[in-house]
Amino acid sequence: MKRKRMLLAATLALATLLTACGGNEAPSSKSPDPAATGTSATSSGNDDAFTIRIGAWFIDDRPYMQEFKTNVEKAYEKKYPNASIQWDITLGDTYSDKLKAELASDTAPDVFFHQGKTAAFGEVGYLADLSGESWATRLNPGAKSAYSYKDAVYALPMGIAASGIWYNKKIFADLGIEVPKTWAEMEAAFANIQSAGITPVAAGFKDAWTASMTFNLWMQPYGNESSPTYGKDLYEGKKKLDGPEVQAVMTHLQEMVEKGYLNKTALSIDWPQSAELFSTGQAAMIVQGPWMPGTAEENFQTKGHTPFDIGYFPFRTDKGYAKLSLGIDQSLSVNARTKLLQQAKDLVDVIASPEVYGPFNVGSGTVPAIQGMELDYPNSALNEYLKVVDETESGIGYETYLPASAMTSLVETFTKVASGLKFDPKDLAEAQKKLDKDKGTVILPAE
Amino acid sequence: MLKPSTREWWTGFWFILPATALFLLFVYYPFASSLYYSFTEWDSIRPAKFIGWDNYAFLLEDSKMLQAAKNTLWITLFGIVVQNPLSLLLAILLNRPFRTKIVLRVAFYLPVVVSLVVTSIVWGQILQYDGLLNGLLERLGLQAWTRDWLGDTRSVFPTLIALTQWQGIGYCAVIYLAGLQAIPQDLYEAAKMDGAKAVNRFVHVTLPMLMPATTIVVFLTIVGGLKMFDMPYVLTGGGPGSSSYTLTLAIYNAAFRENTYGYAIAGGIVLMIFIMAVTLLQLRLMRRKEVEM
Repeated sequence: MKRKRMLLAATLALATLLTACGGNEAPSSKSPDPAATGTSATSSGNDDAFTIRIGAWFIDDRPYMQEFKTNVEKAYEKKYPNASIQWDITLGDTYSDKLKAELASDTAPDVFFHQGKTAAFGEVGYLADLSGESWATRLNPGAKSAYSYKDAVYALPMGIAASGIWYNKKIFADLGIEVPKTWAEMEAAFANIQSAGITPVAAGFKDAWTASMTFNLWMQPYGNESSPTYGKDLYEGKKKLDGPEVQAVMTHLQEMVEKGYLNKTALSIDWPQSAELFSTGQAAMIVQGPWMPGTAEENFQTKGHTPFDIGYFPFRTDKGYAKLSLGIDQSLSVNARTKLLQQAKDLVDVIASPEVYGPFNVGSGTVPAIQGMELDYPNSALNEYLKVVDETESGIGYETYLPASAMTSLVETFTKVASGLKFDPKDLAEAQKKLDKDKGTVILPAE
Repeated sequence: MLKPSTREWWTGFWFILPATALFLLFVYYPFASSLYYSFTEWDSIRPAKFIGWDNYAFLLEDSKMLQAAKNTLWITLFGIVVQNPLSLLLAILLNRPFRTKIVLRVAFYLPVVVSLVVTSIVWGQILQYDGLLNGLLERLGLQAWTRDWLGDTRSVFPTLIALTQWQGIGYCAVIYLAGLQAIPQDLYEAAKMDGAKAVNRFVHVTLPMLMPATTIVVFLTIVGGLKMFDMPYVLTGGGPGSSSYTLTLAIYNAAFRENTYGYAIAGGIVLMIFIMAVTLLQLRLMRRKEVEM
């Protein structure tokens, strides 16, 4: 008995020792850079050899992404000739989970991209304060929620994007279709295109993000027509997710599916396959972000499809109201715990320079979040898109006020309807339940 | 000078120390943490907020979890009732002497070793609306049967079940085959001499002697069915809507898509308890029927 007690005590002592060694305390919420107020513009070069890590999920084979990498490396080499940049790239959604684990275990890159996490990471002290950088005072206030937390700047937004409906101008011209200004005109356009044997809209909902993007873009004008603070009203309970706004969008989607205006493969093909449908002229329209013209151009060149001019227009309500949802796809921050703090800030400064930041925005079709940068977009579709964006009312997406669980529930209902199932308003009650349950996880966007 | 018994004790202690340390670090400590987090609202970034039993209560209200539970039970039942007998039949057929039996054994086992990425790409192409399956059906004059197999809420889960059978039957058949080959032939000879027909030999010799293999196959089928994740994750992501959700996929999405880690952990713990209860019951019932030589 005595032996058993001793063995148990020894085991418990070991367990206590291990748990004391384990765990990771949240870093201090204050930046560990107490004295830095200078800007990198005046920093001189440094001959020390070091490796600086930068994490990203989106840097793939696309030419402008490779150009971005090269531009960053060249520009950083001028400042730090003996430094090397290690690109920690994990393509796709798993990057976000990996980054969270790395931040919690203090193994995150020195500099990393993220999407919409400025407030969440800023709150727990993962991000270094970048308010003193030269570009920090020139950021577009409209993108504040992407870069600011408690009035400090914690991220460099890489560009402001407004997604919407891209269309094949040749098909529209051949069929005598004008750019629709109301939902009824959209439906008439769909019917006209379908009668010509062309799929009106190409969807690649196998990639859940395309369904989520389409739904949110569609909801933005319907929600904001009903209330200019629709997102906040949902959060505060003044509006409901099972209300007439969401029901209107789901009903319109059901009508589209019933009449065959979406490709029959909508749920089993992904985004590249849907882009292919559009680029080959088999579909007349596609709902995508500002990268669409670049992707179509690449498809024309590499796959030999007949090129055509691409146009852009926003989603409109039954009454013709349009409101664009401005999004920041990528934000760049410095790891608060990096041992190369100044070098990391200089890397962000290099990326914010016109020579690097400009071509990145041109390639992705986004508008610079740093004010005062005039860019020349060689793609005529992008110039037209920017003109439409300039002329159309825009604002923060309503979905920034919703917890991810409610958003997932809405998108699942959306894909159910897209699959051909009749829309049941009771499905939206589930999304409202999730909103009520997980409201506490929402960090309200900076206004 | 230590007494022999004390020395023995310490020797034992040092021997079990490395394994105990590993177990504590990688199993018990994370498990204890998980138990705590299941009672919190936690997004894995900000500190957890204690909310008591709310996560567990919501499991019973969440229609997605309930749909996932229903799907998971269907897949498990299908495994026990359909996959199991089919694997046994296949094993019996492959146990017979014929020329191409080795090639066929490899062919039936191949789906088990094919990588999931390859499986999902190939089957994804076959099952698309303009894929091979619909093309074949049209050529056979069965246009009415064509559909987006993975994009239609009515067909997506039966299609996934069929794919798991394609993978699972070969695996279970190999286990049954090993069991069949371990049955002594003199038992069959003795039964033949007593005038037993093929059916009687199967019921009174093969089945009882095959019970250990059957216990393993049923156990693996139940656990595999209850844990089903990879196929729906890669092929459909749980969609359209939540029609192809399984419990583990719902738990995964609750954590990594919806950032409700506390809720996901609560789901995981409930699933763990359920799997433990079911498999303990199954093992207890079936072990009694095993025959030892």
